[in-house]
Amino acid sequence: MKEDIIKIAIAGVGNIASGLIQGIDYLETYEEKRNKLLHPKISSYEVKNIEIVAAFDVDKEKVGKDVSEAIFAPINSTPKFIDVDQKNVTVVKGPLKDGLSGHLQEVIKVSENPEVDVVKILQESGTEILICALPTGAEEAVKTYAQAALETEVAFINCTPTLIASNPEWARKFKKSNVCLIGDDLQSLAGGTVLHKGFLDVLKEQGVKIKDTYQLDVAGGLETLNTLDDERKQYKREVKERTIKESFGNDINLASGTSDYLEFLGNRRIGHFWILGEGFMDMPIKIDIRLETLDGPNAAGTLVDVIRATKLAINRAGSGPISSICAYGFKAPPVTTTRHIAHQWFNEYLEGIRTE
Amino acid sequence: MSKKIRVAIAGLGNCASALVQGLEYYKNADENDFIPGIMHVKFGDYHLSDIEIATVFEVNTKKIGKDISEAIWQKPNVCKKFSDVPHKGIEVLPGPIKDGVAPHMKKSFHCYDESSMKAVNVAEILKEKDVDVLINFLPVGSENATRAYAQAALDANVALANGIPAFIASNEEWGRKFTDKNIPVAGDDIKSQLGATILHRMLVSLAHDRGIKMDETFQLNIGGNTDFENMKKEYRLTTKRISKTEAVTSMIPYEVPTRIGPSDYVPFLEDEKICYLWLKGKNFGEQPLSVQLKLSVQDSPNSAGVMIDVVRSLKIAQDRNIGGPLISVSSYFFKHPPKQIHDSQAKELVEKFIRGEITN
Repeated sequence: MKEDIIKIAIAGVGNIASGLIQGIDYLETYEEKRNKLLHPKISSYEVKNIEIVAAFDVDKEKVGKDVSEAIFAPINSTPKFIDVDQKNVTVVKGPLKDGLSGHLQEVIKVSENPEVDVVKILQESGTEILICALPTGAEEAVKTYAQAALETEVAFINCTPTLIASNPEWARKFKKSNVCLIGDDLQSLAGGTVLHKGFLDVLKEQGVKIKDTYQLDVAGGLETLNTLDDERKQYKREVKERTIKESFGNDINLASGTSDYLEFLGNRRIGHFWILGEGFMDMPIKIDIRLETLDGPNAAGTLVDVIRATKLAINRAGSGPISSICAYGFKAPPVTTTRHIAHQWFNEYLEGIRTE
Repeated sequence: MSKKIRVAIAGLGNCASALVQGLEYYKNADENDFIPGIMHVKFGDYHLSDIEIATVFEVNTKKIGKDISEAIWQKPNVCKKFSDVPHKGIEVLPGPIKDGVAPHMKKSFHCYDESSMKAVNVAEILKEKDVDVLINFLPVGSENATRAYAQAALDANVALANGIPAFIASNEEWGRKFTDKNIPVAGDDIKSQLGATILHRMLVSLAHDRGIKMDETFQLNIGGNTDFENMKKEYRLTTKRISKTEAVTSMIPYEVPTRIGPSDYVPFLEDEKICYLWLKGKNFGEQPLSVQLKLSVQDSPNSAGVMIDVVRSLKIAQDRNIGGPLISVSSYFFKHPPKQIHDSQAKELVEKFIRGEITN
C-alpha cells in the first residue's frame, strides 16, 4: 500500500539518524518487537512505514555515501543493532553555516562538495517531513532548514534546542503557510529529563515541596563534545531549566544539564540525580539516583512516534505548531505541561479528540 | 615544649576559615582522648594549640582591614560555622593580586583596585611577624601569584605549605631553590582528609591488587563554593586536572580510560562537595564488575584537617634543620608530590618522619 509510506528527510546524519534508521529496519525485521512499542500503530502507520528519501550532512566521511553506510561512520557512536539494507539515498552536502563549533571543527573534516539547494532536494525527493538533527547551537543552519521546509511546504521536526516551534514568529510563518511545525529539543523516550520531571511530578502531587535538585549527565557522544562549548552548554541548560521551573516554581534550587564529555563512554550517558524535598512537618525527603542509557536509541524511540503523529497531522491538514505532539516529545514545546497530561494530549490527538 | 608555630596564610577563603575555626575548636583537645575529626592531636612535640596565625594576605575588599575573626565570615566564604572565633588582633593585609583573580571571578572575590590600594611587601611582613610557615591557599590557576609567595618565603626564610596545584614542591627548579636555601617545602595541591582523591586511589589500588583488569573509571566532582566557580573555565584548571588525574593513574601500571575533574558548579550546594566515582573492570573469567560510589562532604574542613598536620611537619623539619621538598609528608598529604607513594606506605613514612627515623 504505497499511500502508507511516510517520506522523511534528515538534516544531520548523526547518532539520532543512526538510531532512527536502524530502528526502522529493526522493527521491519523483528516483527515480534513491534508490540513492545508504546504505539505499535499510529492511525494505520507502523514504524516500518517510515522511509528515508533524503539526507543532508557536511562531514567528509558521510557525504557521498549511502545513508545506510554513513550512519556507521566512526564518528557516530550509536552501536550497531542490525545490518541496515542499502537505501539508495546518498547523503548530500547541506549548508554548513554555523553547524560546527570549535570543538567539532577539531574532529570533523568538512566535505569539499558544493552545498546543495535544500529546497530542490526536498521537492525532487517528495519529502513530506524534514527532521532537523543538527548539533546544538547551530542556530543559523537550523533556521536555513526551517526556511527550506516552509518554502517547500514540508513539515518540520526540530530536534535541536534552537527555538523554532516555540518562537512565535516562526510559528506564525508555518501556520500561515499551512505547514506543520514540531519541536523544540527532542526529549529521549526514557532519558534524564523525563525521569527527572517524573520524580518531581510525583513528589509535587504528594504534597512535597521541592527544595534542591540536580540532574547532571556525562556522556561520550559528539553532541556532548559540542555542548562543552561554554555558550552552547549554557543555552541548552537554560532551555532545560526553564521548562522545569515553569512546572515547579522559580524558587526551586535547580541545576540540570550535561557536565562533561567522557570520550570512552561512547554512546552511553550516565546521569546522577539528587532531590531534596520537604514533606509533612517539613520532614526531609532525599532521592539519589543513577541512570545509564544509550543516546541514539533513546532519541529514536521518541522520534518514531513523533514522525507518525506528524504524518497524521499532515493528513488532517494541520498547520503551525501541533502542541500535543510538541509537549509529548520535546523539552521546549510551545505549551509546557506535565508528562502525564502530555501523554494524554498525545493520545487524544491520535484519536482525534484534540485538534492540535 | 611551649614553642609556638607562627603561620601566615595567603588567601583567607573557605580552607582558611575552616583552619582558623579548627584551631579554636580543638585548642583544648586531650591527646589521650579519641578526638573526632583529626589525625594527630600531637604531631611530634607539637599540640594543635601550638599553631597560631601570625598574619593573613587577601585581595577581597570585604576582608582587607578586618580582624581575621570577622573576615572569615565575609562573602564569598561559605564554609559552615562550627566554632566561635574570638577577636585575634590580626588584621587582614592586601596581598599581591597577579593572576590570582580570573576575569570571571572579579565580582565574586570583591577584588581591590590596584589604583587605590597597594599590596604589602610579603617577604618583609613575613620577617616582621616572625613567621615560621606560609600556607598557600590561593585559587586554583594562580600560577604567578603562587610563585610570588614562594619567592617571598625563600627571601624571608619561611617554610611553605603549598595547598594548590601550581607546582612548587614537585617542580624541579623550585624544589632546588628551597633545597639550596635549606628551607622546607611541602606540596603540591592538598589532599583532603577523606576526599575524592584518596578514595579513588584506594579503590583502584585495591582493584589492581585483587587482579581486576580496569576498563574505565571516572571521578565527577560538583560543588558550590568559589573553588568550583573559579574552575568553571577550563584554562584555569590545567594543573588541577594533571594533579587530580596523576594522583589516581599513578596507582595503575597500565593505561585506563580515565576522566577526573571538577565537573560542575552548582551554587546551592555551597561548601558541600559531591563526588561520583565509577569503576568498570573484569574479574575472574573476564566477568564484568563495576563499582559506583557517592561521596558527600563539607569541602573546606576536609582540607584544613590535613593542613594542621602539614604545618607541624614543616616546623619539625625547621627544628631539625632539614630543607627542600619533604618527600613523605608531601606524598601522604598532597595530590601532586615530588614522588607518588601508595597511601598506606606514605602514612608509615610520615610516622617515621615524626619519630625522626627518616630525614624527610
